[in-house]
Amino acid sequence: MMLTAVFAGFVLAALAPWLTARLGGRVGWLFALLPAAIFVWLAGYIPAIAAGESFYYHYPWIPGLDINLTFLLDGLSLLFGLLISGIGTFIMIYAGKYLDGHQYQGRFFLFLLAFMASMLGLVLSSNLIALFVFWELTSITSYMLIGFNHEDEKSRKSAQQGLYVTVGGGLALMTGLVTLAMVGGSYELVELLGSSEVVQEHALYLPILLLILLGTFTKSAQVPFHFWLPNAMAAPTPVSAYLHSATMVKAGVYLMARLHPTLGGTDTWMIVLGLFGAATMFTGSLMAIRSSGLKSVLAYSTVMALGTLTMLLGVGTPTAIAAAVTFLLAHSLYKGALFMTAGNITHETGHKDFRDVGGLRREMPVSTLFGGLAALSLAGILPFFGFIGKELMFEAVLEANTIGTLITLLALASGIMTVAAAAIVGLRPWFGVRKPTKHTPHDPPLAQLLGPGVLASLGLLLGLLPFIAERSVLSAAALAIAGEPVELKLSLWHGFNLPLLMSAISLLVGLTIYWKWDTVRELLQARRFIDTLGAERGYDAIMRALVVVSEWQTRVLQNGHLRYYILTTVMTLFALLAYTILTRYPVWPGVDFSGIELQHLVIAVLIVLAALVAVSTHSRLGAVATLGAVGFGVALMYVMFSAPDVGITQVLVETLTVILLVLVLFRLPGFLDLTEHSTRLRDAIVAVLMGGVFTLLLLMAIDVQFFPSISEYFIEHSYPSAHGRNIVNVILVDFRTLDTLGEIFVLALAAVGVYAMIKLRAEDRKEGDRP
Amino acid sequence: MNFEMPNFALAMPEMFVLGMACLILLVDLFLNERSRVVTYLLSQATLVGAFILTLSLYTPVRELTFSGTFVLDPMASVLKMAVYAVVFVMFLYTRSYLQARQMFTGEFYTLALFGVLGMMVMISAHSFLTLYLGLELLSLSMYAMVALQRDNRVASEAAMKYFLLGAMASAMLLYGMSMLYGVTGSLDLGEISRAIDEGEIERMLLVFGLVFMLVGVAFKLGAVPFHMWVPDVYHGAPTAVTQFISTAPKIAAFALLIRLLVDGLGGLQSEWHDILVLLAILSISVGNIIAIAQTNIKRMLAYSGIAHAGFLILGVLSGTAEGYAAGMFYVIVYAVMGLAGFGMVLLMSRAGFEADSLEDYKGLNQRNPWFALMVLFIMFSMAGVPPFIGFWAKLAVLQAVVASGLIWLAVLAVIFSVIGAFYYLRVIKLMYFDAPADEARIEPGRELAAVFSGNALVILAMGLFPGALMAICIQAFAL
Amino acid sequence: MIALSDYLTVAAILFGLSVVGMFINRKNIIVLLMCIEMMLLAVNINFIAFSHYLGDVTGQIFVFFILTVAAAEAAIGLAILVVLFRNRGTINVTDMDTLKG
Repeated sequence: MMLTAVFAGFVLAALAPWLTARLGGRVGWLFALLPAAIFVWLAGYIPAIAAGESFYYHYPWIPGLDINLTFLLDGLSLLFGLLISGIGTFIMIYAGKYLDGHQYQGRFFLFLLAFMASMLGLVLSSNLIALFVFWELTSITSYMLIGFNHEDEKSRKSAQQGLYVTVGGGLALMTGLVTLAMVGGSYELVELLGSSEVVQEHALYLPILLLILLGTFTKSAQVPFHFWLPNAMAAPTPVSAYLHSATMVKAGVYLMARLHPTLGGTDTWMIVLGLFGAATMFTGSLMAIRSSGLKSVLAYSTVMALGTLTMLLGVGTPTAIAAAVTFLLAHSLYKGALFMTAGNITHETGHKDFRDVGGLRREMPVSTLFGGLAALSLAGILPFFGFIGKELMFEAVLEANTIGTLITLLALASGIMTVAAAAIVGLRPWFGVRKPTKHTPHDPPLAQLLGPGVLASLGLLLGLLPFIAERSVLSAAALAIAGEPVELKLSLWHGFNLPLLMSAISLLVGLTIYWKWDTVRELLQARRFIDTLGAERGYDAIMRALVVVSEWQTRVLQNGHLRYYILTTVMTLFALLAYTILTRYPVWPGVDFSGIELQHLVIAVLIVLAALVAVSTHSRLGAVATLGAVGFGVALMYVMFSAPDVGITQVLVETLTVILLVLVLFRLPGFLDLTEHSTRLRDAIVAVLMGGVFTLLLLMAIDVQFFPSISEYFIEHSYPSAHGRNIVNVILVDFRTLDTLGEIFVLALAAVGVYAMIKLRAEDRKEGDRP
Repeated sequence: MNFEMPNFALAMPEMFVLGMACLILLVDLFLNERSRVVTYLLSQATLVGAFILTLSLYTPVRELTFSGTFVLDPMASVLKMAVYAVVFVMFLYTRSYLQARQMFTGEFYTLALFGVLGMMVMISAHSFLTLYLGLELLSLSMYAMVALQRDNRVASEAAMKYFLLGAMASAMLLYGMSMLYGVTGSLDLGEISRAIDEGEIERMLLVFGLVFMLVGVAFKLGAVPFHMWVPDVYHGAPTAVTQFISTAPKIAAFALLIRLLVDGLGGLQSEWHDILVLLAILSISVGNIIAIAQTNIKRMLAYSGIAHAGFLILGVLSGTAEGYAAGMFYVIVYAVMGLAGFGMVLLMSRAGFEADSLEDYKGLNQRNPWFALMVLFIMFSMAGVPPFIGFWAKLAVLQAVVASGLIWLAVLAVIFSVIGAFYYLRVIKLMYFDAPADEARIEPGRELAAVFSGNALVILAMGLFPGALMAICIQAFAL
Repeated sequence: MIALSDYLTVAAILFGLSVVGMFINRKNIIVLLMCIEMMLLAVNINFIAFSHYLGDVTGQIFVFFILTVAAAEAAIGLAILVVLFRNRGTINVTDMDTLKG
C-alpha cells in the first residue's frame, strides 16, 4: 500500500500528457483524485499516530549497497504527507483551469505529478539514500516546472540558478549522508534516530553536520542561498504555490527536523541554525517590503518563514518545537492560498505588480474575502491560526539562551515587516482607488477559488479550534522532532504577556510601514548596496571566475603542441618518481661519502662550474674551452682513482675534440637567441629533474649485483694468461680483441665520413667562388 | 623439458573472436559496396557468439592456463561481456554514420574486432607479456581507426598525436615492466606478487618500476596530467571512432589497473595509493574545470571522461574489495553513458554535418522533445543526479572512499562534481530554454533513434534498479 | 666483463635521451618515431641484461615480442605519417597544432 501510494504519482505522471490531450483542462479534477485519495488514506492513520505509534515498511531494492525502500510513518512524516497531498489536491484542480488550453499543459502535469510523488517519497522514506534520491527528483522536477515559461530570459536564468544551487547542495548532502551512515552504522533513519550519542561524539560530527546543512540550506533557501527562490517565481503560479511555498522548499526544514534527534541539541547546531535562520528571517522580511511584484513579495515572505522555521529548530526547546510545527502548518495554509489568489489577480487583470492593481474588491468579491482571510493569518491577527504560530515563536525566542537577545530583536523586526507585507498583500489589490487594468476582472471559476477558499478558511477554523490540529498531528510531529513528548498547549489566549506585547508592537509599526509603504519601498530600493551584498552577485561572480579559470587552464594545458604534452608527461613522471622515492626513502642508497677527500671535491666543483659556464655562455670559444675543462677534470678524476691510462686516453680524446670543435666553430656565425628566457628556465628545470632522477637510478643500479663482478676475473687472469700487467690494455687487446677491432673500424669509418663531408663542402665553396 | 598442454577451453572466446576477425577480413575482400552489410552482420554475430561463449564459461573461481599467463575469473568474464555489449551497441549506433561518410568498410569492423580481442587479452592477462600484447593490439587498432578517414585533416593530426603519445606511454609501461622483471625475476603477476610479499627485494627499485608503469596506465585511462591526447583525439577522430575509443577501452584500462596494481603489485599498495590519490584529484578537478570552457561537445565529453576516470581511480585507490567493485561498477556505467553521450552527437549529425558544437543543441526541445528528454537523462546521469545510473556509480565510489577514511577526498571530489554539474546542466539549459539556431529537422534513421532512446532509457532503468549490476560487481571481487 | 649496472646505465641513458629527443625536437615527426624506437630498444637492453644475469629466459622471449610489436607499431606510425603528409603537405611537428582548447 505504501509503495502504491508513493509510486502511483509516477505512473499517473507518465500517463498525464496523453490524458491531458484527451480531456483538456477538466483533467485537473481527475488528477486531483490521486492526492485526495492519498490524503484520505493518510488521514486514516491519524488516530494511531496521535496515540504515539509509528509505522515502518520495508521493501528490498539494492541489497548489495544496503539500500532499501523503507518508509517510516510517524507524526512528522504524517504532517508533511497530509500537507503535500491536501494542498496537492487543490493545486491540481487549480492548475487544470489556470493553464487550460496551454500548449504544454500535458507536460506540465507530468512534472507536477512526478514532483508530488517524489515529495511524498522524500518525507516518507526512512532510508537516507532513498530519501536523497527523492530529494534530487524534487529538484529536477522543480527545474522543469520553473523553466516552463521559458520565453523570457529571466526565467531561463533563474531555472538554471535554482537547479544549480540545489543540485550543488544536494551533492554536499549526499556526502554528508554517506558519512553519517558510516558513523551511525546504518542508512536507516529508524536506527540512526537512536544513535545520537555515537554520532555527536564522533570526530566527524562537524563535517557531517555542515555538509548536511549545506544541502538543507540550499534547498530551503537560507541565507546566503536565498536568492534562487524569488528568482524561481518565474514559474506558473500553481508551481509557486505548491513547490515554492508549501512543499519543496520545506524539504530542507523537514530534513533538519527529521535529523534533529540525531544531530540536534549541540551548541554548534544551535548557533548555526539559530543565526542563519534568524538572518534569513530578517533578510526575507526586509526584501519582502522592498519589492513590489505580486509574487516576489510572497516569495520573500516565504524566505522569511523558512528562516523562522530553521531558527526555531535551532533553538530546539520544547516551546520552539511546538512553535515550529504550528508555524509550519499555518504558513502552508495561508501561503498556498495567497499564491493562488495572486495568480488569480494576474490571470484576471494581466498585471504582476502591486503598484498596478487596486480597488478590485467590487469585481472580485470572493477573491477579496479569501485573500483577506489568508493575509490576516499571515499578519498573525488574533483569531487566526497564524496568530498562534507567531505567539509561540515569540515565546520561543524569548526563552532561547545562547543567542537569545540577538534573535529576539531580529524576530521582532521581522514580525513588524511581515505585518507590513501582509497588509500589502491583503489590502493593496482590493481596497483603495480602482486602477485601470488590461482586462476586465471578475471572480475566477470554482476551480481557481476552491483552493484559496478551503486553505484560508482552515486558517480561521484552526485558529478558533486549535486543539483539532494539536490532537491530530501537531503533537505527534513535535514528538518526532524532539524525540520525546512535547506539550503544545495551543490556545488563542495566553493572557497579557511579553509575546502579546511584541505582537501588538509589530501590528502597529507594521501598519505604519504599510501606510508609508511607497516611501519606504523607494527608500529601500535606493539603497543599492543591498543588491551588491546579495549572494546572487556572489553566485554570478563565482560562475564568471570559474569560466575564467577554465579558459586559463585550457590555454596552459591544452595548447595543441605535442611538445608540451610530452614535456608535461615527462615532468610529471619525474616529479612522481622523486616524490614517491624521496618521501619514503630519504637516505641515499648505497653511497658512502666517507672516502671523499678535499682534492676530489675541488675537482668536482670545478667540473660542475665549467659545465655551468658552458651552457650559459654566449661565446662559442668560451663554451668549447669550458667543455674542454670539464673533460680534463674528468681525466684528473681518473688519475686520482688510479686509472692513469684511462686518464691519458681521456686527455687525448678531449684535446682532439676541443681542437676539432674550435676548427669547426670558428667558421660559424655567433650565437643566436632562439629561445626565450622562460623557455630556457623551464628546460633547465627539466634537465635538472631528469639528471637527478637518472643519477638516482644509476646509484640504485649499482646496488643490484646478482653475480660477483667480473673484474676479479680479469685481475686474476691478466698476467698468467695474457702476460700483461696493465689490466686495461690486456682487456682491450686480449680479452676483447674483437670488440676493439670493431671500435677501431667504426671510428675509421666515421673519420672517412667526416673527411668526405669536409671535402664536399670545400669543393662547394670552390665552385661558389668561381663566378 | 616437459610441455604442459594448456587448457584451451578457457580461451575459447578469444580464439573465436580471432578466427572470426580473420574470416571477416577475408570475406570482406569478396564483397561489393551493396553487400557490405554482410561484414556488419558477421561482426555483430561475432560479438554475440563471444558473449554466449564467455557466459557459458563463467565460473565463480579463478582459473589459470597457458603457463599462468592467462586467467579466467569472474571479473574477467563480466568485463569481457561488458566489452562485447558496448561494442555491439557501438556498431548499431554507427552504421548510418559510417554509410553517410564512405567509411562503411571492412577495415572499420576488423580493426574494431581486433581491438576487442586486445581488450579481451588484457582483461584476462596474468603476465606482463599478455598484458603488453593485449594493450598493444588494442592501441594499434585504435591508432589506425582514428586515421581511417584518409582525407580528414584533423583526424590525421589526431591520429599522429595519439600514436606518438600512446607509443611513448607504452614504452614507459614497458620500462617499468623491465625494472620489475629485473628485481622480481618473473613476468608472472602471481610470482611477482609473491616475490614482493616475501619482502626480500629492495623496495625502492620496485617503486621505480611501479611509477613508470603507473604513468603508462594513467595515460591509457586518460588521467590528468597524462590526459592531453584525450580531447584532441576525441575531437579529431570521426565521431563513430570516438564513440569506440571512449567506451570499451576504458573497461579494458580498468582491468589493466586492477591486474597490475592489485593482482601484481598489491604488496606496494601504500606506494601506489598516494600516486592514485594525486591522479584522482587532478583528473576530477582539471577535467571538470576545463570542460566548462568548451564549446565543442566532443571536447566537453572528453573532459567529462577525464573527470570520470578520476572517479574510477578513486574507487580503486581505497584498496578494498568494495572499492574495486565500485570502480568496476563505475567503469561499466561510464561506458554506457559514454555510448549515449557520443550517440547523441551521432544522432544530431547528418551527411556533411557534424553536430559537435554546443550551439547545435540550442532549442532541441522545440525541434524534438523526445530526444531532448533523452539527452536530459544522459546529462543528469553524467552529473550524478538520481535516479539515473550515474548517481549510483558516484555513490558507490564515495562510499568506498569514505569507508577507507578519506573523507576530505570525498568532499573534494564532491566539490568538483558540483562544478562539473555546471556544464552538464548548461546543455540542458540550451536544449530547453534557448531558441533553436538551426531549424533543420532531425531525421536520424529509425535504427539510430531506437538505439539512442533505448540507451537513454537503460540509463534510467538501471538507475531505478541498480541492484543487479552492483551484485555482479561485488561478486566479481568476492574471491 | 661488464656488470649488470652498466647495462642498466646504458639503457637508462638511452631512454632518457629518447625522451629528451621527443620534446626538444620541433622539426620532424620521423625523428619522433625514431625516438620511440630508441625507447623500446632501451627497454630491450634492460630485459636482455636482466634475463642474462637472472639466468631466466622469459625476458628474452619478451624482447622478441617487443621487437615484433615495435615493427607493427612503426608500420602504423609511418602509415599515419603518410596520411598526415598527404593531407597537409608537411610533417613538421610544430604544424600539428590545429587541435587544441
